[in-house]
Amino acid sequence: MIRFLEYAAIFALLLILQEFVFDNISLGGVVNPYIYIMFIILLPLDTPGWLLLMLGFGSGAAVDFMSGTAGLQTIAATWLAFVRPTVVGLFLGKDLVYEGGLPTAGRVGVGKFIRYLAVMVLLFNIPFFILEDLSGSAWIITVRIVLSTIFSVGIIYFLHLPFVNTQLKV
Amino acid sequence: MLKLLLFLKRIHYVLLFIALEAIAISVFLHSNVYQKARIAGASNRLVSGIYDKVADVSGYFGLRTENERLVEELARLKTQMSAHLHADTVLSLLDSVPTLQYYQYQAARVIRNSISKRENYITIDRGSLDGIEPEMALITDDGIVGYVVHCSDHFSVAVSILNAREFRTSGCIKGSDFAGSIYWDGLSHREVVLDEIPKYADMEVGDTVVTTYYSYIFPPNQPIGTVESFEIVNGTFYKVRVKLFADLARIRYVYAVRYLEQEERRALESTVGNAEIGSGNVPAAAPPVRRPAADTSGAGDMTTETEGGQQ
Repeated sequence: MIRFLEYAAIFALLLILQEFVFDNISLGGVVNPYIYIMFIILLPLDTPGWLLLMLGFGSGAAVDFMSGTAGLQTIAATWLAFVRPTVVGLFLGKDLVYEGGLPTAGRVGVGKFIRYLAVMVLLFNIPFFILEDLSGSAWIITVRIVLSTIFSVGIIYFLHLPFVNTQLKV
Repeated sequence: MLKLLLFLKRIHYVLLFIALEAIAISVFLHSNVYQKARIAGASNRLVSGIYDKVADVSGYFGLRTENERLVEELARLKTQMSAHLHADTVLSLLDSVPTLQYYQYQAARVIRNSISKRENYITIDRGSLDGIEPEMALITDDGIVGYVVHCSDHFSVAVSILNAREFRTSGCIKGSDFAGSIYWDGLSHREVVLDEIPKYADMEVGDTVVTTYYSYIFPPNQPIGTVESFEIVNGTFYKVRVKLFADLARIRYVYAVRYLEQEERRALESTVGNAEIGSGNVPAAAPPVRRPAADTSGAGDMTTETEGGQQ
């Protein structure tokens, strides 16, 4: 129960940050950092699959509700939750999954963590920016995906630092 | 049976994913501008208090510029009024002359506004109790910024001019009769596109772009921006990039404008046999698929009314 409240508080904080800070960032109209997905990226490694999917769906729906983008965030966030176990397996190793705990830089190593983070953010941004601007030019969408990913990875890395030394176990 | 259950258990992850994604995709595909505005309105109820406070605080920092802007506006209006007083002294004394008021202005404060998405909305702190209705225009001294689509009691949500999917209206080069359609291509929040200007039109970089008489929503001759660059498409019409006068990132106060003869005009125009006229609710919005078909003859605003039926 305490754990649940902790996660709920973290999620609420991310939602507020997203809505009041990062939604107002638009550098040159191409950089839109979506940092709330940090919640999905940093969930404990032994989170059961169904819960992961539900949380992905829920967090996307919450941001959709806040920003009035019907369904768009939910599609991308659910997809991100779906591919997370595969990405974890590929980039962090299966052993870690059995141990559980948060996939932080302190635990898996900075290099490994940034690679994992970058792939996850990219996997979110690709469907998101394509769906957001279906009729847009491919070149501009690519620029937006790449720049937004770089920016988001930087911010999420910075934001996750307080969790580096926490020993949360589910 | 057991095998089936085991199989289902093995693929439950994929099944759950497909189910959730199906829900999300159906919401994404079937939502129109009203539902989106309603969602934005509902979340306003949740966060409007905070936005109100933020607008309060950030409002203080803008008071000086806001004052200067108001004084300039007053000076401009005084100039206009004096000109009218001298020209119309005789007319204005006659009671029999009906007052020619077509547009009603009402001030409102912007409490929520985004520019970073493809579909941006503006929330103002006036709602249906204050007399705001859907299809009222939002303008500033620097030009048009959007139009209202959904009202709650105390707040209204408007489609921003920076809404690549929903915002359409007609515009023309000031002093020229050739009109085209104004929309945002989602690139820069300082630029919109004026499309389908016939190639016979004369224009130069720096020319002013204004609204036309064709709109059910926007008053005519409202400034939009200046011509930044233009190119000819297919040898038939110009595609013009327009630099907006209004900085959408910094709007604090807007005027909500009611077109007093909107209903009458729509009713009349719907009698002339064009089945598309009057069947929808949002004249300035057209589904993007119709973009090439939107004509420049003035029906641009009206043919766009089949929105609901098309999506």
